[in-house]
Amino acid sequence: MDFNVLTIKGASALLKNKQVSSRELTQDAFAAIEKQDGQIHSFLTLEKDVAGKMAEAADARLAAGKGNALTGIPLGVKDCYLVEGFKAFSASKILDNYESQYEGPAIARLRAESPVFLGKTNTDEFTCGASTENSAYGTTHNPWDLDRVPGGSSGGSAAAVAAGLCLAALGTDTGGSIRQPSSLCGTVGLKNTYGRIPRFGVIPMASSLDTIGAITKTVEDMALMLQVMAGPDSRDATTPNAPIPNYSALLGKDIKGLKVGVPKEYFVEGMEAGVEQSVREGIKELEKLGAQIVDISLPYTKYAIPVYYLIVPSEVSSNMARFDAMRYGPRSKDAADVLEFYLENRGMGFGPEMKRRIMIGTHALSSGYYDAYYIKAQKVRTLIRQDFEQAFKNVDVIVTPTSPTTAFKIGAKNDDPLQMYLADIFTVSINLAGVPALNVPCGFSQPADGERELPVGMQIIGPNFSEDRLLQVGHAFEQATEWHQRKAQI
Amino acid sequence: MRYQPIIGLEIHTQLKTQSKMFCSCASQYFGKEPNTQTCPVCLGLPGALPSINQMGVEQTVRVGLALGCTIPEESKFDRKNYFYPDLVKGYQISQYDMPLCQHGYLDVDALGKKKRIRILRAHLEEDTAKSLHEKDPVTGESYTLIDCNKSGVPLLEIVSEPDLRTMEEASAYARKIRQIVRYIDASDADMEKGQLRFDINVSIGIVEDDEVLGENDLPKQHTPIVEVKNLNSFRALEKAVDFEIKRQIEEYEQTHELYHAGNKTTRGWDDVKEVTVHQRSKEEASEYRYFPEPDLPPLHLARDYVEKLRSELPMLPEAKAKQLAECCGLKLSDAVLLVAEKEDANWFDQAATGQSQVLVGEMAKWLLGDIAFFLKENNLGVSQSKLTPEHLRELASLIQSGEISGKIAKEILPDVLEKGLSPKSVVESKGLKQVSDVGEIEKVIDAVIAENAKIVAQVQGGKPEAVMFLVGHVMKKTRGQANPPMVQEMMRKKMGL
Repeated sequence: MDFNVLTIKGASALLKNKQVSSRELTQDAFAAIEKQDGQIHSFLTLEKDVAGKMAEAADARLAAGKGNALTGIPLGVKDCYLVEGFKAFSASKILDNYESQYEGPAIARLRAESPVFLGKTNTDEFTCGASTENSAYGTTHNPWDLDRVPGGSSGGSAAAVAAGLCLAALGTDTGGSIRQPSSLCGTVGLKNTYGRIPRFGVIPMASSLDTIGAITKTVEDMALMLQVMAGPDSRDATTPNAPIPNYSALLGKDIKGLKVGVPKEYFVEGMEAGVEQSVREGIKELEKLGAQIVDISLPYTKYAIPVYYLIVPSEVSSNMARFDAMRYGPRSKDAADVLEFYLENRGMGFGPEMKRRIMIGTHALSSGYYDAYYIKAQKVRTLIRQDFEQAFKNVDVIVTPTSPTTAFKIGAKNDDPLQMYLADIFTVSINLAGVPALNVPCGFSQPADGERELPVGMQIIGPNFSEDRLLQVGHAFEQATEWHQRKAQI
Repeated sequence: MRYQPIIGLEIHTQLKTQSKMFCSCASQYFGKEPNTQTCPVCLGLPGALPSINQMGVEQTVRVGLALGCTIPEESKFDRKNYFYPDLVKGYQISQYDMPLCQHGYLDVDALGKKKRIRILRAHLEEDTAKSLHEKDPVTGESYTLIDCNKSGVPLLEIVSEPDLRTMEEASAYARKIRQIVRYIDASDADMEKGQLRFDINVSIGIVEDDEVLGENDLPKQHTPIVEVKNLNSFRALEKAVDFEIKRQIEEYEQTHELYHAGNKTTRGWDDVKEVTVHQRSKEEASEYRYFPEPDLPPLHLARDYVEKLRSELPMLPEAKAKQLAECCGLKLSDAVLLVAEKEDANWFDQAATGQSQVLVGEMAKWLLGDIAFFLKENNLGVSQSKLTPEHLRELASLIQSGEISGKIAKEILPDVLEKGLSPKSVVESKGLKQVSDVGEIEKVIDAVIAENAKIVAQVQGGKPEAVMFLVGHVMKKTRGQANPPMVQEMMRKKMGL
């Protein structure tokens, strides 16, 4: 058994058959981390002692014959999640050394399965970014090419899963933060319907767009993770009481007659040729599996980036206000008055991208600008959502590239925030619409500035609460291809 | 030219709910150890989200209905963004452009005049934490502690139109708001616990001689608006309004400055010196960067839900007083006093239900007279006192049936009020029963006549008014227990008057 290539499903079977213990799996995980994470830097904090105890508890449960799908499975947790007793900085200096005081339903539901939480994975500061370069604790490196970014913001989680340091990891997706790093690292990533998994206990970026989810090696594993985490909770008022299907039920069912929409707006000039080719081949593969391909249009897509970058900073500017060093977080002691206290601590604590978003958002919400920016953006957001609603009257799912390029070089977009924002060009509209979307590996492409082939991801988008359908399509594609089986060689 | 004060009131009242507005912490925090009634939500910890306490919405709607407000079908919460150490999230969840209660009114009586005060809106928000300003006794260094027990307590802000013209109107309006929210059990509005706070907006209208103004019309010109924040008592409210009216007239006479966009100022109230103090000048539109609270879905208020709440509202004091006056033949002004507090009104209901008009009148007379005096002395509401409705009824019956005189009633009252004894038992134990036995009274009358031959002669010799002297002697002899009207009548008969 090679830990690096283990899936949740595979490990779970071994655990149940007593061929391996959770303690051994956990040791393997830490051994792999020790060996490789010095180069990748996917984990920010490791919790060996807690993980050891969790593994023991899992083994006891397995011994009693009470193991579930995730019992004993070593997982990575994105740093913006609160896990009782764990540190949680959301990769920001303003929460340096902060320890979680509680945890929310997503973690509690997982905990009830007795998995093993290895530690916290790197992210852009407060999940704001598309490369993890905005982390205050160093950049994560893409396991496929260490000179390149893993994508972001869940870059730590995607890199850790891709490098086989854990079997799956938790992420969040506000504008592509699960899908884009999954695309760049060759993992499976599901952005769930807004409200499918409660956000309570996860440090937010932009409340109306944030979603909770996982990054896994296979679609099957994703179904297992979602099954545990999905469902409403009274502590998050934005979680509708939608039925929770058996997310594995449609896996293995064929997709004959499935209508797949391909929007012309998602194949744009300037995108990496190999990416376009891989995605188009992926679409052909779906056709071979019996799907019916339909050309469609999502005309408001072109406004998604500007709309996103008004709504996000607006909500960010308000969500970040509680980080004032009054009650928690490091603080400077020599401020002369309250204003100076705020200026000094927030000035020191937030990185450049946070400051940029806070300033843009503060401006966009100011009287005199609010109508022109925030209200206008919300109106266009409605049009973007209607674009999708309209499209789903004619098709079952929509397929697009997840990212216009494969992984870019570390530092390549650092001086140009706009270029960085465009990395999410194919993903942000999905968050604005609230619908779910799944990234599955669909090929490899060699970028013009590189020598290695890098993973390409395909995004499968569905109507609200159609995660089971997306998993069905993703699984059918995965079964027909071998892309997900290729592993990064460090 | 004349000066016309223009006053608007913002009244903050903490709503009565089990738990806080957006989390499940207890909302009753008075007297509790600091920071013991808190959770990740009301502490503003990272990752915590608000969830709506339906009871807070319900209490808000109930107040709105009691104030004649329209309750819209759609409402929502907004974030009011500003930094302050007692604001744990850096924003307050409040309501901006779609408040739960809109366009109501309240009729008030002030200076003998009835006036309708329009209410612009009432919106639901969360209270902030409490700042405790301390000084280190050794180093003398001052510092501030934050107690988050109050953070997140549901708070209703009721905003009047600038319809108030005098301190008396402002005071009557504020007192009536308090009475109503207490009546419908939406708030305890206990001022000593800080549950009711006022902000006043005052300016002085400069009314030209030829300017004709309706009751709620605003003069064409007025002085800059001054907001005085955080008044914690009716006394402070009244003093602050008075002070501002005088101060602004004086200021205007010196500067002749009129209101224009941007010259609104905020002042604080110094309770010791009884003056307002300049705090800040502020821009016309405060920069609170309001935007819809993305963590909470919009509120939908089903019509049948609102109507159900309306139908379940208890009778308001005004209607209650009217009903009492009509059913029991009381003066409306007396009835108003009797129902001023809901508990007292219910108490009186218990005493009065099913009783004759005469008896109810007798009860009201005592309740508003000697009993009210006693209660005031002891700072009690009748419902909190030892007097029971049954005992009041008993007292009134004893008087009505002639068993005791008013004088005796006064004599036994302390025992009834202070010890909670039944009037009957006090009368019996003290032997104070009024003597209405003709034979017994006659004996005493005869004795008095025999002892006061001189006066008898005067009476019969053309000075009939002297008969009262004889009556007085009879009363004295019977230690006040003889039935006075009977004594009078019998004595006059004996004297042949």
